[in-house]
Amino acid sequence: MTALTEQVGHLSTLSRPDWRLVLPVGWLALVFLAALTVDWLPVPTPTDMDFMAVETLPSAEHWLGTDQDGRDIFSRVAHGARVSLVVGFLAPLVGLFFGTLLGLLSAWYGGIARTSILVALDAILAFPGLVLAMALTAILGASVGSVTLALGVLAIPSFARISRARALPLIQREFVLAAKTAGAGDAWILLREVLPNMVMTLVTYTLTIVSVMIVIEGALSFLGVGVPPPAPSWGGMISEGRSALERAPHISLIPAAAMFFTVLSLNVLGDRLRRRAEAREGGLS
Amino acid sequence: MNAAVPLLAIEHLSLAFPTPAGEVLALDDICLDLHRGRTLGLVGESGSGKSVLSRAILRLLPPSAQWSPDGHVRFHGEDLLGLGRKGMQQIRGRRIAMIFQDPMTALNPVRTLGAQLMEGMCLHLGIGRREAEQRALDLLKQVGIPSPASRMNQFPHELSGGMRQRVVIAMAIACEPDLLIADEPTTALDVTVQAEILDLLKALQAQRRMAMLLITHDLGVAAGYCDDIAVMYAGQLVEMADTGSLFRHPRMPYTRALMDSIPRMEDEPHSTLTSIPGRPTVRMAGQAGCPFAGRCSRRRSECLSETPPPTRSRDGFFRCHNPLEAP
Repeated sequence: MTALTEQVGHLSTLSRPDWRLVLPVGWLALVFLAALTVDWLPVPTPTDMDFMAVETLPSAEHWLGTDQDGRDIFSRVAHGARVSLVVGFLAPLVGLFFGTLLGLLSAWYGGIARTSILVALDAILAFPGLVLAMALTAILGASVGSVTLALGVLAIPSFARISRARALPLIQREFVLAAKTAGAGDAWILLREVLPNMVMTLVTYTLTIVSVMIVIEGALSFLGVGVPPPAPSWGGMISEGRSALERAPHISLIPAAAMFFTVLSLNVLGDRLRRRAEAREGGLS
Repeated sequence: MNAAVPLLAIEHLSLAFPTPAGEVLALDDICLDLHRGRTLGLVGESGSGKSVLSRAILRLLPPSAQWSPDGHVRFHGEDLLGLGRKGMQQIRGRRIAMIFQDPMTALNPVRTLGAQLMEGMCLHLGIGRREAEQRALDLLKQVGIPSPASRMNQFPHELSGGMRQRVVIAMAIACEPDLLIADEPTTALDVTVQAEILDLLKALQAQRRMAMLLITHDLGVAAGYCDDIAVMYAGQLVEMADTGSLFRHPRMPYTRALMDSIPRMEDEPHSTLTSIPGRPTVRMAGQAGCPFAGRCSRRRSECLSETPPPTRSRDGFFRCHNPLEAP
């Protein structure tokens, strides 16, 4: 019966395209494609300076124009997308892994384990995020790896909070008691019984956090503590374009637009997923 | 009762929970024996301690529970209360299995039935995936699930309540336990399915010579499926006897009152149902007197001041200062 209604639901979405699903997916696919294939496209490398064409508008030769040093903006945006996407997707994974682990442990065990985990998380949460990320990248040295790590650490507390909140009611459910009755150990119960029930929540939250991470990475690069120049990153490009904002606003606006549409797409997509997850979980309990 | 060593022997088990109002006595001096191949029915009102007793046997109670030092739960002669974590995990599911009241919540909603069935076997019997899968199919067939192969990849919500309970039963008997604890296995099911499930349990029990502890608040179920019945009230076993004599000649007034409150076919339509006046009490640690005294029509003065000790009857015991006549 449910399978049937689901099928009917699929059919109706097929016949009428769901723009709030198609547009974000399309934009993200475009960004991914550009980031992956830019090396084979007939465009200059991101650091090539063409002094014959400085601050030009989009043309056949330079698809999105050039910046103050005559570097190709399309090439830089596509290469910058690599940084944004790598940091944006890997940092949440660091947070997802450690945060979920800590969240599960603090939900399952009481006493000192729980108290110390929660205190440590609160300490990270109480620290201004951007300052912590700046401090970490300053210590570790500015590179994609250290930015990823710093942002990943920032994401741990919120993932831990979310997974703990989701795990607490699940742990009270009878199937956990049934698993205990069947002789299952703690790790088994947490990973096989509790975790699978949290997947939807964690996935949707990860998508939301990806966009936050892309923005924070941009902010770090804008402030000059992110990925070091001349390697292109969206935040760095916005920052570099500031001096020419009156003459050639597209130098800042194009990477800003790329970031804006990427973050918007991720948020809309996350929202759709969350709604579907809520509908499913509502049916389960 | 036969003289062999019982499979499960509970001796003087008492258990208290701390609450803001003081220590609540959840189990009070429980003694019972259960032999291989027998079914013991545990009946009583909600809150009488039936479920606490079943979880106490498997040591699944919160750490705040306070166990009396002289209580023992002997299984095959070994005291479960002295076992460590690892030892207990080897007993649970392998030697003692449990079936829960609501098959919807006892199954993990996001995992397939096959995975849930097989993991217990892999865990306890140390067999491979393929063998576990074969056994899982056999089990599903044994518990009467049609086309078992296609069920293995289904999720709990795709099955009806009765089917789900059959899967739960299959999971419980997967490792061939010696003792099966069924905690109100049919309460969440409708009446026609109830009989099917109980018949299935009975058949599996006879076939595998398991002992079964059937927890129920339905005296009709207890009468139909149990060899012996233990009546529980406010954490005490107030009477235990074999099913026939308990129903023919109850000695404890509470047992009598329970039976009187079963509606009968001969009753006039719309006649008032008999009920026991008052509400079940909560007993605090160290409180003397019979827990049922407040609601009892045969109360005497000592009932309020002295806890009645277990008195042997022909094939069991009862706790009462002023018991009903023996035949």
